[in-house]
Amino acid sequence: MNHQQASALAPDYVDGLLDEAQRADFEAHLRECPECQESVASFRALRQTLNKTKDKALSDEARLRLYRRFNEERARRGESLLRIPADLLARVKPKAAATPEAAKKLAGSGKEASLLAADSGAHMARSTGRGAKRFGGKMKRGAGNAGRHLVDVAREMGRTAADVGRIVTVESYEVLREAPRSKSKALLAPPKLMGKGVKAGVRMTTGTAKIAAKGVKGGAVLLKDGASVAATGTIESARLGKAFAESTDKLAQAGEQMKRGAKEAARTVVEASESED
Amino acid sequence: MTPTTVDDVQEQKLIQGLKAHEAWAYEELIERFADMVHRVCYRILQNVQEAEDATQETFITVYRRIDSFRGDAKLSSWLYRVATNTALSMLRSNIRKQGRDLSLENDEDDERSLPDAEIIVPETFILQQESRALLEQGLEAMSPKLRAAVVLYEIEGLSMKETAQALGISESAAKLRVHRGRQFLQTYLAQYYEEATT
Repeated sequence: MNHQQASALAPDYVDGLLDEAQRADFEAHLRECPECQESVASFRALRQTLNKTKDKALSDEARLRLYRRFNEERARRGESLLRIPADLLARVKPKAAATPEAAKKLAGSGKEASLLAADSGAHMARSTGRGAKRFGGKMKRGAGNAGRHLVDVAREMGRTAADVGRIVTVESYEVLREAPRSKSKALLAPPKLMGKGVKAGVRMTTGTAKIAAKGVKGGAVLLKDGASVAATGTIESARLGKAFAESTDKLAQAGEQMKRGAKEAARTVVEASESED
Repeated sequence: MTPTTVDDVQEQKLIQGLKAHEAWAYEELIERFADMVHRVCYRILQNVQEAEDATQETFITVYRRIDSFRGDAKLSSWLYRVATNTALSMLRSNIRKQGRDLSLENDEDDERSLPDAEIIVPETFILQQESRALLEQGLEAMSPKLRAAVVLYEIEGLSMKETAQALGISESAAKLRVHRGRQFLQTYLAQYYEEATT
């Protein structure tokens, strides 16, 4: 075996991939060739040093998240849950204790806020339904066009209430659900929830503007269709406006509730983090 | 695969447990393989947070697709394969999001692309403490495909056959990637060695 052939086989020799005859030939050459000896030593050293980089164990927090992710999947399928090792729980306890506590606080305030939002939506629906019924009677007597406008008003109110309800409940729940997954997510949850509050407020404002515009249109048609109908429309619009204002108050309360919960949760996480440090 | 050793029997039992979705089997799977999967994902992705996400995805993929595991290869080889695919796929997605060139495929598995010149960095230099940090940097600078091969073969200590299985390529292609990866690292170290000795 000449040097060129041996040199090409050096990696395979280090990897133990040569057959017996090849290995014997290579070793015979190796004894005589300082360059190949150096090459083999270099490959071995590379392998040895690379092997020392094998130190990236999964962190306890990530391991715990893995168990929990499995359990979420298994719960969905109705399978028995994995037992999380007690020593793992003990090691992650400070953080693990802080985030569920924070999430619990957020969830508590979220639940109350959802109830307020639901109550507000129901109030709107009741008022809109009653108003539409009363006004519908009048409309039968000659104000079909105005009726459509009132239906538009009612629809817009319904959409606004549904959107605001979704933001306050479903979207906020998403934030709450993510909160315990990591400290950063828990810390980000309060500002995110406040963001949801602002979003809900913006949706309420745009909804109110649309309702007002439709109300003006409806009012114009009502005036055309007769004083009696107009009077009823005005009264019903006023009633709906009152109901809407009441609902807005309730949603505002829901927002405040969420804000308080978020602040408390953030404090819990920060305190836990500080005590851990 | 017919079980022949105690380890094989235990592995068969574990696979049966996994296929039956037994809780104990998944507990054992996590305890036995979580570090290994995380190491591979970390080495390919070079980011702890992303490696943790890839580790979760790997295990959930195993959970969902355990029925497709035929048992021709060792369970660990299959896990290596799922972990490598998950990490490389995540890397591709990251590259796409960053709008960079999707050149995970730019390493031709062609014998002709092997450099002729042999680079020999002295063993004493490689074994120095600072060379470990240099190798870490070299791994990061390497293309993901070569990196995956080097990680599986050199760091995880898989055989060439297992490395090939994990990468879903032929054994000769795996060998080529490992060799090219080593050459890349030696070239990387050689630059610093030359600077250190001149």
